Amino acid sequence: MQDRQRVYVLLLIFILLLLSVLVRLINLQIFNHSFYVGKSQDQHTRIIELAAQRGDIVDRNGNILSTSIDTYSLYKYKHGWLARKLPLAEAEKIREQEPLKIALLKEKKRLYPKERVAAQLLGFVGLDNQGLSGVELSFDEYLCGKKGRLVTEGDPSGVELYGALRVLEAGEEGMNITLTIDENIQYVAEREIEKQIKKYQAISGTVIVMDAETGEILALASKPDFDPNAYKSADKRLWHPRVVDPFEPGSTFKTITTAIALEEGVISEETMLEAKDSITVGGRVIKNSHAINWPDSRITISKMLEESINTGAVQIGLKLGPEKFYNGIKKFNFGSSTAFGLYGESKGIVNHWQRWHKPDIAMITFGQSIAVTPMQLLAAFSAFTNQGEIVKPFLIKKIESCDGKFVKGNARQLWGRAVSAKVADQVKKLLQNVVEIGTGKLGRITGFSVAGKTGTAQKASPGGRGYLQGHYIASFIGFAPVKDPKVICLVIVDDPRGKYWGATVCGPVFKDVVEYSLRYLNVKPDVL
Amino acid sequence: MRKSKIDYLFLFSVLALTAIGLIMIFSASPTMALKSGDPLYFIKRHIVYLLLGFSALYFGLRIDLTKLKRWSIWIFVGSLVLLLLVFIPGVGRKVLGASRWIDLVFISFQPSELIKLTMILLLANLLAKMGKGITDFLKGLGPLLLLVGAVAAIIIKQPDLGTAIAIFSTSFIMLFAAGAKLFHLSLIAGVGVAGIIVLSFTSAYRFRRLVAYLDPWKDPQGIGFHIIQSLLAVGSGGLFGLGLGASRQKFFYLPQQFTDFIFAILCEELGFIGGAAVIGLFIFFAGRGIRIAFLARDDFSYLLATGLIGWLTLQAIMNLMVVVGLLPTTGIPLPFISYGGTATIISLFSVGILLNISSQTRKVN
Repeated sequence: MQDRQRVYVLLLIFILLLLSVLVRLINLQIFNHSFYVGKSQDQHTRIIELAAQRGDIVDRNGNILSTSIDTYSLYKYKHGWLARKLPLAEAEKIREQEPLKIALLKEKKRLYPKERVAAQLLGFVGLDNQGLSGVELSFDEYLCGKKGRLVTEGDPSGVELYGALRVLEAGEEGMNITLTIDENIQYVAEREIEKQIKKYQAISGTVIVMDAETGEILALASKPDFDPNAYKSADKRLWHPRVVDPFEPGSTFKTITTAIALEEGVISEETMLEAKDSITVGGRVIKNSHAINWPDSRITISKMLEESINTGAVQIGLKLGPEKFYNGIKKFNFGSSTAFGLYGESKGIVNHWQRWHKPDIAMITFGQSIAVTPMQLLAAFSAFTNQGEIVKPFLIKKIESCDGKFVKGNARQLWGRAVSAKVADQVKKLLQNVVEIGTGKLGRITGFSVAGKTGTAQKASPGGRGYLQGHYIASFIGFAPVKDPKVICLVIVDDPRGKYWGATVCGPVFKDVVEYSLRYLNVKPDVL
Repeated sequence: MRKSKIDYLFLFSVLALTAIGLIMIFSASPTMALKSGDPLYFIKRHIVYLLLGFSALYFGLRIDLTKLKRWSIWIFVGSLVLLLLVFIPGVGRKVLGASRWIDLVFISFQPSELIKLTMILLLANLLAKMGKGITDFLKGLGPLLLLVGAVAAIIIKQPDLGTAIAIFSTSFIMLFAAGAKLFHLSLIAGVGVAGIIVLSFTSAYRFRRLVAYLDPWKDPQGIGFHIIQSLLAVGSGGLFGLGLGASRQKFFYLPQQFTDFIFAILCEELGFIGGAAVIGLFIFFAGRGIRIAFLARDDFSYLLATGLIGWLTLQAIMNLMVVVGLLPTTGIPLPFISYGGTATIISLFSVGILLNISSQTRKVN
């Protein structure tokens, strides 16, 4: 052929086409390199979240109430979790079935070594170790720590690449929480209240023991409860710590009424009240809860408290008048959250005096038509043990980082003056009389002087109108020793059957728990 | 005509490319091979293909070109029969919806690879005999076009548009080299391009490929997936690459990672430097090949050499352009580098023939 030069035209075209590929490579690999690297990394980077070790919850002496242990979970690609939080041997057994497809992961499981002890208080965590109730929920942000991350590379089916680049970003362990609770007092309180609930077939019961001077909550027992290790199988209603809910305190509130009246000067220790079987206020007939044996036509303030006479308390309320009464109640911090530590605490229900119904001035004197939380009541009574000043109840002693560094803590904190030191002293004596010669006799403790007050409140209808016939909330609140009180204790039993008097139902629990506490705390006996 | 040494520089470029191919298959295939249990599965097979390929190369080098010319018609007819066999159920094997393979005992054989070679052989013979007759459209060019068109039609039926285009373009190159009139050729080119466009719009999968080519990012998880994964591999390689063996895309992100898209993995692992080296080797390969054609002893050898070097270079160009997103996806392997049996053996056999041609040159003034 004459025209062989034509093949060089071909070569030129070939070279130009190959150079176009080269130019394209420059464009892709040099100018747009970072774009493609980013896209490529986006699709093969796998981020595995590593749960942080959750902090422990311990009692005031460092006894473990809630901790975490290693367990093993099984994950199958495209199927999700097969099983979670098993012992190692059990997990390995399942994995043996399909060792290439099932991954074994170490996971922390929350463990409550004391089982039901302080269950409602501690609460529990979910499957991903997130706090769901109690202290676990209220202090989740401190307990949970910071999750770590393992950044690695995987193929489209999720399998880690051979020779994958692994970057471990360490998380942070959760903080440890020390409660003010004393495990031993807590245990005794739970044992005693449980016994009494059973005996009187009550719905529930609560015992709170507070350090009378500092406000530290030494025990917060609430029954029935659940085993937080198996919270799922428990009645869901039991998960809620009932201590944050308000209740109508009943006759224990007569103490507050009397203290306010003494502080306002509308009565004195010598004031005599009329002996009455009933009294009508705002069109409502108020009777005594039980027949009183009147020795005279007039009674003392002390007698009113000793015998828990409603008509007597009402007379004091009428002397006070709504405005003074209301302001006095507010000085005792009713209607304000104590913020003692648990999430969801109620403020109680204290209506402004201008919105009171006509009988309310009478009803409130003996603790009806008003709702308070157990913590508010304890805080109010701390005024009598602290020369008239209220101490704030608290549950969290301190929070420390995993390496033991102090993060935050609580100490005795005053929360306003309720009454003068003199009135506080007068109330102490009156309450001592209640235990020694009045309705609180069952609260007496050998070797210690005790002051206290019983309460038997009619249960409010669920609808909020009127009261349930034959249903009561029995209670007992008191402290000991009277001169220099160490503990304040509140016992509440909801709806006891058969006998329902606060004295009968709650008195023995108060006595046993306080007696144990005083001996346990090494308090010096003050009487024979 | 005179005896001379074979073109060792040409042979060197081929050896370099096959060596790079072997290394890249070694890097890119174990991810897939592990699914069958043996990470070296494909490497072992490829080594066998290379041994067969170099035997074929030696055979091509030693073959009597005169005899080859004489037998070219019958060789073509034989390969045409094989090509038709793939449509017979029981003989042909379907892979990914295409009937391209014939199952032999130990190797699947692709007749469409063979027909490229025999077509070139036949055309070289016919064009050499025709001489200046090619300038006559009705008596020269026309009948040849019918022949090429018929073969391309059979292959399109498989369906394998990529191979059909390769055959069509290679034939076009040979017609051009044989001295066909440029006016005629531009008519043919126009008809060819129009045909490709029509075919692209008349098949759903071809149309999807075309759309993916025009805007792959429109549907990155669907039709654009393949080309995007290829671009990610190439682009993330950068200047120096992630290092040999360090590809991420080979872990089942990029399909066909050691066959048609092996160049993408090469660019990811060896970077622009590696990619440019391969392009450079192909330029060198094409240059030496064209020189062999130019110096060939007679018209048949000249046309045969042009056809073979044109075919191999064109395949390389098409494959590279697909991988970097300059052409829509077609099923064409990268000569000497992609894993494959038939293609490797036939390309090395072609190299043998080219070396054979290089050993008998004409006098150039």
